Amino acid sequence: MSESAQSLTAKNRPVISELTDVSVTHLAARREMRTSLDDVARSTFGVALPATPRVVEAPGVMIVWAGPDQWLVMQQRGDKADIFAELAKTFNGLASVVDVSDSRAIFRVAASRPSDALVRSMGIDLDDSVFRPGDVAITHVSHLGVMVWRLPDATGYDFACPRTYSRDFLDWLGKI
Amino acid sequence: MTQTSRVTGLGLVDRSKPLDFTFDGVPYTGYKGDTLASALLANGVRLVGRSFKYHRPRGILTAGSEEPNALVELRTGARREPNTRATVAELYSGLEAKSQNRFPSLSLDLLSINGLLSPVFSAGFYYKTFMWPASFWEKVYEPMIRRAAGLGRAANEADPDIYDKANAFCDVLVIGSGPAGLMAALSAARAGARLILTDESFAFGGRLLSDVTTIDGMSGVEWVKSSISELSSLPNVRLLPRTTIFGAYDSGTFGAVERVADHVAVPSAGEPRQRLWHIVAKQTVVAQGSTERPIIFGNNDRPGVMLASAVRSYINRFGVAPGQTAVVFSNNDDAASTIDDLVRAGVTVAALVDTRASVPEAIKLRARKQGIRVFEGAAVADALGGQRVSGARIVAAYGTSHTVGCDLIAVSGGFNPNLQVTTHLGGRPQWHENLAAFVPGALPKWMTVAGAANGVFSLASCLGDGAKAGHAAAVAAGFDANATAVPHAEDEPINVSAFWHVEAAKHKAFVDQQNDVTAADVRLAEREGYRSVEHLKRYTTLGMATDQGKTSNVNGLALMAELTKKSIPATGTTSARPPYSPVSIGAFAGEHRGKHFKPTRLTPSHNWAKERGAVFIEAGMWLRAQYFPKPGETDWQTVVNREVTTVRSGVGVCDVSTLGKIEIHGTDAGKFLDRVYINMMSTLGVGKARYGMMLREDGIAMDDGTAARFADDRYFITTTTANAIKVLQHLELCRQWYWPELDVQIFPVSDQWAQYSVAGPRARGLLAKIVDAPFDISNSAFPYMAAAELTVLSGIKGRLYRLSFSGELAYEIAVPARHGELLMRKLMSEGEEFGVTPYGTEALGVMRIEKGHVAGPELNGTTTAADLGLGKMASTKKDFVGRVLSQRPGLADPNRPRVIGFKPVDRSARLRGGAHFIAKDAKATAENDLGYMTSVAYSPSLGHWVGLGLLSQAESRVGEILTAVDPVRGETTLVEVVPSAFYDAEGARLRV
Repeated sequence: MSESAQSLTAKNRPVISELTDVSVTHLAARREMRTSLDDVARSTFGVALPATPRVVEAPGVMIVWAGPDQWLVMQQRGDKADIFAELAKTFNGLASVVDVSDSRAIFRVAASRPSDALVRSMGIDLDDSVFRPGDVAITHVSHLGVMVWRLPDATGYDFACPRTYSRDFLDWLGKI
Repeated sequence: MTQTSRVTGLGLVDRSKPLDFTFDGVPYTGYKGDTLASALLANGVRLVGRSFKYHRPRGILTAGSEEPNALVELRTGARREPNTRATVAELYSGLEAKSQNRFPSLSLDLLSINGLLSPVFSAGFYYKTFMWPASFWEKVYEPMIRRAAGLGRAANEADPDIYDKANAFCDVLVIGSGPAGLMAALSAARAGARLILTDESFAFGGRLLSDVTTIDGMSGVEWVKSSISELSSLPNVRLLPRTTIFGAYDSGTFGAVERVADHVAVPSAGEPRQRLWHIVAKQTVVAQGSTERPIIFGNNDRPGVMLASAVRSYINRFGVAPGQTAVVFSNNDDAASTIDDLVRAGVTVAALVDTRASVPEAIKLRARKQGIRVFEGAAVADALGGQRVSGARIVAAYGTSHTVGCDLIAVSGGFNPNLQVTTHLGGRPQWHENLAAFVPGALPKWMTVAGAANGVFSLASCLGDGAKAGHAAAVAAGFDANATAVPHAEDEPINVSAFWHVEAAKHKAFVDQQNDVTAADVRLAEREGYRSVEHLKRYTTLGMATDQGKTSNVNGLALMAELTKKSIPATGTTSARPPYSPVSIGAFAGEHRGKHFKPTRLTPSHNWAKERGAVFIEAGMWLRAQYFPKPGETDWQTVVNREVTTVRSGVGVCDVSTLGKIEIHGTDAGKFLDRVYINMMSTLGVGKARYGMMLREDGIAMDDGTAARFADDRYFITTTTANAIKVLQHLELCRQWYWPELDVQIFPVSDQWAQYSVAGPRARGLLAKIVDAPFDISNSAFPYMAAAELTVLSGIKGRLYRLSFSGELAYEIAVPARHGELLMRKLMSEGEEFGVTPYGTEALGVMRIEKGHVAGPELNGTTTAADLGLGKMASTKKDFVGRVLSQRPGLADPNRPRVIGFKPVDRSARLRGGAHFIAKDAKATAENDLGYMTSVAYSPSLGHWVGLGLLSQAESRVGEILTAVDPVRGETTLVEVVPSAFYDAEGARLRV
């Protein structure tokens, strides 16, 4: 896994932590199954799958829009049984389901508002009034592809980047 | 030395802050607020450089970024920076500048003899003069030209400074902070818009700093101060001085460079030297003012010939008198203020020379009141003097000639709106007859132009135009506000009458001073047929280099129009590409230099491999273990031989996690793969894997890899390391655009899995200790090309594939990346009893060459499946990407070079990659070339070198002896053509 993010968190900077105990499942709707998928998702999670670049939260789960008809389902791993296998069963035939828990490193920047440095470093408009709580963007920073979302409760920003790029991503994150 | 030309009581420089600097080693003093140019002029320095071709003495023509002449080398050592315009270089304490392009010194430049050879150096001289003999070009002509021509010298050392990059988003971007820009900024900011205001200078205010003006009863300078103070107090405003917008791009995106620390000797710790801004604006107001045009007359490049607006800048902004006696030469009303300012600075004005037959009475009165002689319908035909202007030869009505002594000729040929950024996205400027200038043409809907840049020249109309544009921009960006009040100012007319060049000139008359392009060169180009402005530019180099023709393009165009007897708009127009002015490469690179140029990707076993003493190699972005030396092994070949031998006789493990890995799901996944691979994948059984090849649409091989099927609707494919991203892009293109009707979902999972090759006759024994019961790994239960999902090491989800690249009994085992290191350590500890060895990319490569498998050197973007010996894989029962074009005659030609094997005839000889094959007794010439060696390795299994190569008529040459010629290393080796599989050609070892 990527190096500890903690060491890069200097004084006066937002606290950066890596989410390591999270199961991440990539869900992509099967063709013409979107309506049924939505019904099952709502009854499973208690929230609808976001149709636009948004992140929604329900007890024990965060669902991040990841492209048209695609989502990342993030659940605390803890000592639960095989989360992925359960989801694969639930959505069988409605969505393709892949365990991507080890594909990305996810970093959380605890900040209720974006710092100037963060705003300047991003190729998207991260202004407090533009990138609102619950917004998602698939973008790049410093030539590295990343997904970023603002936590729905406005307590921070999550960045997900491919695991093998996370050392370079942390270099960047350490500077903001 | 004292500042002899500094004028008491004038200028905005801070006289309480003197700054020491040197020019060509001579110490001088200037003030804070000076540019290098103004400080040199204050110290009476007029000669600052030598010209590009003729080494003519040159001075300072302008006071801005359009400067063609006053280019200097700034700083020293690693920070030495050539071609810096003295007119924009902000003075700082300790500044060191040197003149350029002179030998041995600025005042005595021996290469000025080039001026006498000007018939040789005329337009197109490169093409005409240095044609014969061709062999002289590289060794004689080019070095000679490079020594004689050219500008400054770049630093030889690495740039010690850091460069930053930043993004900004705004509702309204205002480019330029003169009267129009400032009013636009105030209007938009007051409406509440998120605003960015940029100016290329270190001080906001534009022309208001250089002209004597009154706005709402206060001086223009005071009005600038109060406006900037209001803007800085607003939270929605970002002010960016020292920032040049160098390019306009799609959808309101702009590139800008901020010179953060160019005005100090050395940036403070951690401070970037420059910052590259990426600005995205909903609306933009371009208010970049205008650039004064010179008039083309004889010796118009002599130090002391200066644009009239620059003369006023030096007087009013910098408090410097750029001469003692001046002649004002003009075709417009603006000359009046030049005269006033010169007089106020104590400069004697010897004459006003106006090309217009009738100069407005008011101007004549103002001149005569000062005792200035007025020449109407007249022109300065030639400047007199050598390294400094000593007089002007004036040709007046009826051809009378007058010589007037002076050391300064303030020239104005009218004004060109600075509309460059309006043309970056394809906008074509329009000719405006009354203004005798190009004005902006059609604009993107998110861009407006205000003030002088828009052809609006009087102060009152600039303020009004700016206010209107700023308000409109805010409204367009979604803000609802009342228009801001426009302050009061004078509305002086500026009449201009087009005048381009003086026919009566006796001396060289320069159109483009930076490139030494004269009026005669333009005439020559016309005579030789280079009449289009585009041809004119390329033939004469007019408009090229650091100033991009800001003072020469329109004059060159007008001259060509006269010569061809066409109107200016019929002759052409002026448009520009980014950058507006030069941007250092460092700013574009930003922090992406050295090891930060690209990411470094580490494999899951990296930490373990490092511990183990592996030697690493960069493979694309990856850092991979190349080989694993044991204590005492000093030679890489020994290590690799041992690794190969151990795999072939026992077992070895190699990290192959770098392969691209993609999940292909959906009810149509099989159909989809049938269309992207040349071979059939829909018939692959669940629990099986198959080798596959993909073609590009043009029929050339794109990539090879394997596909495994885990369920009817679930495949997993691998790509080569190098093509992982390209293949993913290709598949997404196919899915989203070609066949959106298919039920297919694609997931990149390269980083999800740690994947290791476990190869060798003892691989099964080792893996039996890794996989969890009750998985049956026996040959009958899990045969060659089987694939399974399973658990390993007590419950870790994993995957096992029986695939072999080495030619041995082999598996690829995968676990989620977080368990990768653990799995590698377990394979090593459990493998001890089997004599396991880790092996790196070198041994991997040796074994694939021994087996005759193709890889990157053969899959090189020029080869087809048939060239690679895989033509028979292509299914004839289905269509696939690249099928049709792979059958075109050029690709289906049986004589195309194909992959085949090579052995040295003398078994002790070494083979060389890149060597070309020539028939044994033929001469080593390009006509006799039969192909080349793509991959070579020393085969420890065979005890000699083996090679793969692309050879014409390969199959029919098996058994033939050829010469392999390596002209790079000067080696020639006899080789025998052999089948490409050197080792276990039948594949018996795979299936045991």
